[in-house]
Amino acid sequence: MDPLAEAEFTEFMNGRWPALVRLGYGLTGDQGLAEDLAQTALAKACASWPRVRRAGDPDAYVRRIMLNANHSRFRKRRVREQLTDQPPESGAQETRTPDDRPALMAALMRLPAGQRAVVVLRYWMDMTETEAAAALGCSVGNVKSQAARALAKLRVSEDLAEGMRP
Amino acid sequence: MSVNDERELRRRLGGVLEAVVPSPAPVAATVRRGRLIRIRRQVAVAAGLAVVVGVAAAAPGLLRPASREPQAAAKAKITVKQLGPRATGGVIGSGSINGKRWRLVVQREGSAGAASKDLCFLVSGAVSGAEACYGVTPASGGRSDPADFNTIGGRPAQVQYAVVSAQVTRLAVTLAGGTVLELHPTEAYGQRYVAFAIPLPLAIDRVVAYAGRAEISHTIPLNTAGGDSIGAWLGPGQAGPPRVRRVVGSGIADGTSWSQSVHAGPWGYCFTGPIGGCFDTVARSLGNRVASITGGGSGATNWAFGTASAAVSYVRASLSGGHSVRAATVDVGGPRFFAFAIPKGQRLVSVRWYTASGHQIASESDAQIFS
Repeated sequence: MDPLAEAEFTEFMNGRWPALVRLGYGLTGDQGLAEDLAQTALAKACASWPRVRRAGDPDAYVRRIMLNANHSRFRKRRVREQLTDQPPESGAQETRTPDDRPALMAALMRLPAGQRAVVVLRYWMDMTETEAAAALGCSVGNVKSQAARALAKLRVSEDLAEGMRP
Repeated sequence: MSVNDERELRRRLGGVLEAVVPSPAPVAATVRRGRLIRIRRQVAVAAGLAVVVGVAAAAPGLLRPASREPQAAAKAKITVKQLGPRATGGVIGSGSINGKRWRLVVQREGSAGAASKDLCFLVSGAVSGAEACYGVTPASGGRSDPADFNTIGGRPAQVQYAVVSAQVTRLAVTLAGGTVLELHPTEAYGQRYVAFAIPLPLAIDRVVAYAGRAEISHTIPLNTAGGDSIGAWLGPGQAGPPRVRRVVGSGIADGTSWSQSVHAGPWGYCFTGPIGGCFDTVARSLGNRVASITGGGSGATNWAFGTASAAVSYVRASLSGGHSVRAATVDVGGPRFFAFAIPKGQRLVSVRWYTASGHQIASESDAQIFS
């Protein structure tokens, strides 16, 4: 990569890193995995940066790689993955500001990966159903049904004590 | 589904995800990974081309001749000068990166020959100048590791140097991309040293120590954006533990977010976050102890980091002023770790280790922790 392209990629990465890590956290519930996912996607984008840049929407490209990489992670590690009730960063609970992170993340982690991805794209990234479908490489109908199922599960989740209950 | 559900979910999800504070963007490491992906693709293309060319040679006319040569992977030209068995003028390492020379000199703190037991390591030349002074633990003083590596300097290159044990005659350092650097120890101030420098984007794949022709041991470093940590040594053929990274503690202390990670792997256990460093061991149990307390000292935020046995579910720390902190322990490939913040104006009084059922199995007082 020539120095100009590398500088451009550096600027792109610095600007997108926080949002991509947060997307990864929503998908995995683990900040370490989230940063790995974001870095994997950005490294792939870096490897093809001239092409990615020419394509006109590097954000969509990187998001798509992240979603695919997360999907592959589940395919490969289904047996080894141990989803716990509380994400690991609950390690120092009493030093954190009070929030509902453990409860919401525990509930999210109980959703199947596809439903979780739809929830994050639709309700955190505020994507339309069409945009979410394009990002996930599936139909709009599939996004609608996944979102409906996810909300139904979250509504009755024991982790969420208030707000999502019917 | 009601609109209220969606609005509520948006609000709560926003709160959770916006509270995540990412580590600084690892740009250098990502560019390096990107470069490796590109090189792998080129190698795969070249290998495919070789197969296709082979088929074409066996069956002429199946293919048109290749119109261009496969691109060679760009590599830095790295050399390490072989020094004699005794260092001249304290020079324990020298070499070049893409034709630019560097050298590493060791000398007694202050003027040469001063009474201080500390040694100073000064690097100059192609790598950014840096100096580090400390007492060097004799390699033969009970350590069984073939070499004890330290790093000095930073961008644009990392310099690694080591005190080498008596039985080691040479070390072979394999870099990402396949370049191998041969290192032969040179003696200064009663110790045997090796040193090498590489551009920071290049990672170290492994280091092998030899006695004559026999491999004694090898080590696989943890590669990070800031350089490589060369830690635990493994026997010939030994793979070491699988690579695992876990966040073992995080939160907000005195208004600042923090997150402590542990990276387990063939290098041992390295930690990044408020507390950095490595345990150069691949042992599956590291006992119940507070390993480190780091921070700005009294009047500032500090962090405690420690290990726990498999039975431990959480630790409870007593702080001055009657405050207490409960921190869960997290399994990282066998051993369990924990980390918690000690807010400004408070100090650690004691730590107790508990099973999930609340049974206390170990404790350390401040006197034991700070001894």
